[in-house]
Amino acid sequence: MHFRQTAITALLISITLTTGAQHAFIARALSEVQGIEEAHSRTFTDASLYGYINGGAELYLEYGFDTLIVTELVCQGRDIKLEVYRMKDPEAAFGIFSVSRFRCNGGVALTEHVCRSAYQFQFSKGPYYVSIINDTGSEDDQRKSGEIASLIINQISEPPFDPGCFFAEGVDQDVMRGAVLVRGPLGIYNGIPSLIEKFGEASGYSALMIQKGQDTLASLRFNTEESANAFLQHKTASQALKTKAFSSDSTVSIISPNHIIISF
Amino acid sequence: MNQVNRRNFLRLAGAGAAAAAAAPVAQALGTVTPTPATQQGKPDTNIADAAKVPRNEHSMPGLFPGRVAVVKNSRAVNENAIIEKEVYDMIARSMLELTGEKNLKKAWRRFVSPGERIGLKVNPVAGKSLSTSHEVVRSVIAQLEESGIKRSQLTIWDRREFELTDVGFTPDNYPGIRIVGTEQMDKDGLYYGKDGKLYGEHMIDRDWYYWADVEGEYDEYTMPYMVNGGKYSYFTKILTQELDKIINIPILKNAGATVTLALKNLAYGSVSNTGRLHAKLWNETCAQVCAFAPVRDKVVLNIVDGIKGCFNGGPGANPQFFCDYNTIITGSDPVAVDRIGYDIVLAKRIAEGLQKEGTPTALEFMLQAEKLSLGVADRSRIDLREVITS
Repeated sequence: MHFRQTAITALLISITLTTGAQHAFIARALSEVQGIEEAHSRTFTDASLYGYINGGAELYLEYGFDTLIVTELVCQGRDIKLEVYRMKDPEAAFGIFSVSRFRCNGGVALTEHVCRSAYQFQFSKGPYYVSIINDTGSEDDQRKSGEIASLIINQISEPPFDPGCFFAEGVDQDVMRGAVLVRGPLGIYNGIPSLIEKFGEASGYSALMIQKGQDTLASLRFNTEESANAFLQHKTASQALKTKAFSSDSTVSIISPNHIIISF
Repeated sequence: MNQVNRRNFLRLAGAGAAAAAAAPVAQALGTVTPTPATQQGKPDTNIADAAKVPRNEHSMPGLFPGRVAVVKNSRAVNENAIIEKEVYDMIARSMLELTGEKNLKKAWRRFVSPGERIGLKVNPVAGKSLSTSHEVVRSVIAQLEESGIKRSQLTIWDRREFELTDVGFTPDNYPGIRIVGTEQMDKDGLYYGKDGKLYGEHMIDRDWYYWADVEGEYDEYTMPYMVNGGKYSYFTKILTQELDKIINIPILKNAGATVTLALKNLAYGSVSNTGRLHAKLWNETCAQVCAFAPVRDKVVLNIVDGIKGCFNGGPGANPQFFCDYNTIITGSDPVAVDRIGYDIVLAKRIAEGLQKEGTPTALEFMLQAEKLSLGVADRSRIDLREVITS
């Protein structure tokens, strides 16, 4: 008990010194977890993320990355790694979450955007993308991961990403489970490689892609009208050249000068 | 900033050192010869300098251009544990298939000789779960020793020494074998020495570099992982001065819709200041860095650890994307090895529903490497020798 309190206290001090009060909620959440024997944290900000995941950092930087706190726990003799990514905004957090999840298991919806698998618990809420990784995939470790996730979710006051700004009529929960949000070529490359030729090297946008029946709907919100126009000109040129980028059966709806929806 | 970073910063500031890139002391390659970018919008590089150093009998693609040996064994992993005996046999079989030799010692001695300083270039970047496995590395070492190579001739290396340590490449686990990285940290967790310089700065060779017209600008927290900023990426002295031959042992991983495998493990593991190269020059770096003599002329063999790997989210994938490929891929030709590795990963991605087919851009770095005469990317010209042992 004394050792555990000492470990958590040291962790709290470490994180607070690192990032001020901003991420003290991680330590507050962990102070309620039973069975932690050791805890060690590291912090990475901006481009120093290269020091943690090398070239994988580019994807996070493309979405808009702020700070990562990695906490390595030993819990009842087993290793659990907690990664709390603070992204620039909830869209970015959901974006990273959307390209990271795969074949999620069911379970209680602790927050809007959750993915459980045997070895990993992921969620996004507010500007945070959180990944909790265990080594064994056991029921116990999955339960412990869920416990940690629940405590952290309760500490995050910001609301989860809302797709309403992309699709005014909202998006069904089932459909959102397969939705992908991208902000550039790396997101496309990692999340939906089949769309590489359609989107190319375009940037300056956020795009939420959902499946509607057999079609893929992509709602693109551009940072400027110029980038929207450039994208549409590329599309028009591609159709004229009959390239694979855009076939004649894709439709474009102009919602506003900065917002278009494409159906593939 | 955390305590370690604060101490690093104070040591740096106290010594009055600058963190910017320094001009090369001497240029073995002469002045930079920028090569106009072949693709629109791509920055210039000094790839033309690579050809100034003549090729020799060891130059890529090595002894067996276009030939790749693949051994698959479903018994290589049992209940998530790698079975070292099976891995040993797979590597041995792949060496015989590659060389056509009937004797394993002779097969190995086609590539290495007693007295040579041999480096094993592993990949430890994705943590314990997704790094070059110890079972593969120990098997390679065992077969080298059985072929007459002494442990004292061997070095296990990568760019980041502390990552090697983190995943278990330590003197305790590998007695008698040197373990070294370009980027280093001392026992107090500091990246800077008392002279105010990064330990890594002492490990780069300013006579050998890859120049690209992309500026690397890093803050003090990122610089320890880059060693220097600016437009020069310097080769590590580990490669240019301390080793005679390299055996490249990457792990089978995707990178988006392509692979991060033999060429990437060599290119990004051999030079400093790599952060700036990812966004605009990923393909070019994978191919062009390998065209320079320190890599081109020393890498004699590539053994891909495809026992466990990942099919999505790479190079630092999440666990749900891990899989057991149960495969060893071996070749002297890193381009052909990458091409075959790509096919294996693509097949898995298609089977998992992530893609329906390959994408042309996925092969770009291999095609560039082929144009630089580093090996064979054209699948129809690859001599694939595949063995399924179980």
